[in-house]
Amino acid sequence: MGSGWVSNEGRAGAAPTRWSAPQSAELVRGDDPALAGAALAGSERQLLDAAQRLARRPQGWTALALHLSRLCPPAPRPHHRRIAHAMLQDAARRHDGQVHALRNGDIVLLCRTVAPPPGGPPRAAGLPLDPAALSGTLARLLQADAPDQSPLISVWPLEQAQDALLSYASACLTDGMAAPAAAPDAPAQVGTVGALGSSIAGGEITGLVQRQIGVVVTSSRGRPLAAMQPLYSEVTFPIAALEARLAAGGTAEADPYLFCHLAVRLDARMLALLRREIGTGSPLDAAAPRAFRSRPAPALHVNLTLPGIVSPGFAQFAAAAHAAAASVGIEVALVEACADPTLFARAGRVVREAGMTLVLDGVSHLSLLLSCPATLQPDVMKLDWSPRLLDLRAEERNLIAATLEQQGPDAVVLHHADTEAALRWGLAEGIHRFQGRHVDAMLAAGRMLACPSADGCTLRQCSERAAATEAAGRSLCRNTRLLDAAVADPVCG
Amino acid sequence: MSHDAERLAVLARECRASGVARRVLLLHLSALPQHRTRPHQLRMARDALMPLSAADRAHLYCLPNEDLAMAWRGQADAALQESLDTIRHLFADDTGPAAGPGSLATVLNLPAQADTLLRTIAEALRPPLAPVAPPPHATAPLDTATLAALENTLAQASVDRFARRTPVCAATADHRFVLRWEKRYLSVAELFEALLPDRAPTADPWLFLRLTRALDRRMLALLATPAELRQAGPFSLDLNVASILSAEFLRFDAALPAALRGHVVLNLCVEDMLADPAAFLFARDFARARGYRLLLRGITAERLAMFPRHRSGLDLLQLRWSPALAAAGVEALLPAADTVVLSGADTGEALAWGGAQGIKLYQGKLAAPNHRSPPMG
Repeated sequence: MGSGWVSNEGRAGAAPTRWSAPQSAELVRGDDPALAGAALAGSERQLLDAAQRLARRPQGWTALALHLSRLCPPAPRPHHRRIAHAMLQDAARRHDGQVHALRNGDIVLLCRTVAPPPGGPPRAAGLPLDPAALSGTLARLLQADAPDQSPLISVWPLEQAQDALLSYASACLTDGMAAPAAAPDAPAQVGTVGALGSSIAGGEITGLVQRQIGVVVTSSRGRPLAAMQPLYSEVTFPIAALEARLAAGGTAEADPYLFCHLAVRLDARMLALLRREIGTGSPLDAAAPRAFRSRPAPALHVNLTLPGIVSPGFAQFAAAAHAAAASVGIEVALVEACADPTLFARAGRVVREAGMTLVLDGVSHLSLLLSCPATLQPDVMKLDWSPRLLDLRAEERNLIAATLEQQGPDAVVLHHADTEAALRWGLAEGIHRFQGRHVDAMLAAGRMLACPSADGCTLRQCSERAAATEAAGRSLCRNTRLLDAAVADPVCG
Repeated sequence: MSHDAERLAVLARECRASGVARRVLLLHLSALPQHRTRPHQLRMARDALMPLSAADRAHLYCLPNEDLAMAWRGQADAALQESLDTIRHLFADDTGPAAGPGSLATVLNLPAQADTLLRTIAEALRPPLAPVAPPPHATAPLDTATLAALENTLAQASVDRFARRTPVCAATADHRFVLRWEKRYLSVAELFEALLPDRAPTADPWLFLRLTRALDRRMLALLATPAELRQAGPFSLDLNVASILSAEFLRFDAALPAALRGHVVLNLCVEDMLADPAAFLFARDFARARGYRLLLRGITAERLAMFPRHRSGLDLLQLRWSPALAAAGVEALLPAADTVVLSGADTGEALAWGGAQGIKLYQGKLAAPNHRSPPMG
């Protein structure tokens, strides 16, 4: 208990000390004359002033810089800044230091790490700080966001490394390092989500619906990415597009609970739309014959909530799909499945009795480390790609490999495969099923090679037209049969 | 006698006296386990009877114990079959002895079975064995507009009167319960009774989870007042991950007396853990660094396999009692007994099972200080 950042005080298990409530002030000044009178021209100027003062008398002082700006998006998130700032401010208060929160999100603590000489002025707190303990705690907190924390935390004992602090502070001030950090998407307010729900319930959603192809990658003659065979086309409804249409403030996706609430509202409309499209030959036709060069037509995947699956609307859609011999997969988010495992089990039976495939969606590598989704026994599990997968510790890698083995590599799709690194990681792990923007680009490249009308088209245009389901988004394509076939012959290897 | 129960009893007596034929479909929702009687589930059950509403003289009666009775006259075989099929489908997972699909629905023919119906009504009127919170009669779910208004109200209103405590006790070697800590919470049932009596708080589970964040903020603000914590003993709080990472928590943490540090348990739920695993891990390590113990709550028999305690890295796991826990194979999934809090310890069966597993910590009606605890297995 309490293995926190106070172990420097030599009291194993000592309780963390109290801190005051978070304050808007970003500077905590001690009573050292070297730190007094910092300039008021912004945090960067204050940091440089303090660094220059301390350079004249650096003995016993250390700077700890937490480079939150170096985290990969979506980090740093507001809670990273809030908690880190509170921790560093606490250390500053107890160890006679000061904290500078920079505009780029970085936070710098200047603090005593050696007790003041005898006879010196009395200190607010006499015990020196152990920077290793503090940086260890910070590193542990940020582990999920940055497995390698070495670039994130700099500890500069000023007697030896005052130049490092000075050059960092100068760079922050002059080189644009301290450009304001991009604000993450703010969660939508409840009222906004209500408006989005009303819009979904009362309006036509067809124009916003998109699709994305999932593929199986095959290899031949030593070429790991020799060919891609389309497996399914996932129908998606980008809430962001609706938010943009309504000029809604914030994003519903930033609040998982409001997003799930909205998804329940979307189900009825989506099921009605897809039932209506069966037999029309449109991009949303679950029974459309999309075979190209005698290939089987890919299935249609739909995201649904559990209440949506057990609703009469689903039964009607399933009956229509069955009558048209459509191949359909139903994707359920992991958080939904966990919220009501009994309903998930029932929904799974409903899906399978309808002859459809049950897909567990939204499985991140962190959720694999925290839980065992394979015990839900989905037909297919969609693992979200993250660059963090490349930096996992050995035990984490083993755990994920064991989960993939339990699920069966042929029943795993690497989702959000937006980069070549994702495909390479997946193939190395035995995964051959992929979905994501990199796959889209490869499919588009394959189509453009095969298309006699591709002159003047760009890869991006071809990808965007393939994702569109409305005539307006596809009208400029002169070969929609090929666009829908999602052909991908070996253009990559 | 409730109005509906009275009217149904009158109908049964009239049929018996006059010989007029009626049929009644009884849906014994009171036999369902508690976790299957959430408002939206009750609403679905009620909807299952709707095909019969088109029958001649059809009328739905709601009995005080949540059982439903649909009475009608004449032939309605197809509608009856549709209702029975839906009921079977809805409750196919409730395989407990009292709640099997077959035993949930009964069809009575009046006047021959009028006495059976009257006995059923009398059963429904019998008070429960132990005092329980009034059953939720409201079935209307929260909507976003109501939730927004409620969040605004909560931001300014005093919630002291809804603050409650319930003990978490340890079973001792001499078969007694001793208090280990109190769970402190805001009574959602009472809050809704006061502010939104026509709304069922959990009928929309996602909006309810969203609401809990506002409740967290109010609870933390309440506890951050010096008077609240000055004399406080060890306690636990249900909190969202976002709440642990909030400014309100930092204020609460600053106000926490040193003597309580290490004696406060933060209860986190699995939905929250999986909704944002990165934030969960951050909050877990932050809370631990500040000296809190952490508990993963809401683990049921169905969730045990999916959430091994060592995966989440939390200190404790709250296991919700249900007879399904007694099924073969569950023991193999249990974490170390000293890391389990068995909640819903309302029956001797629950205590006996917990004792047999060596579980020491309990929460429920029978787990009160100085009550008799089960012998340890």
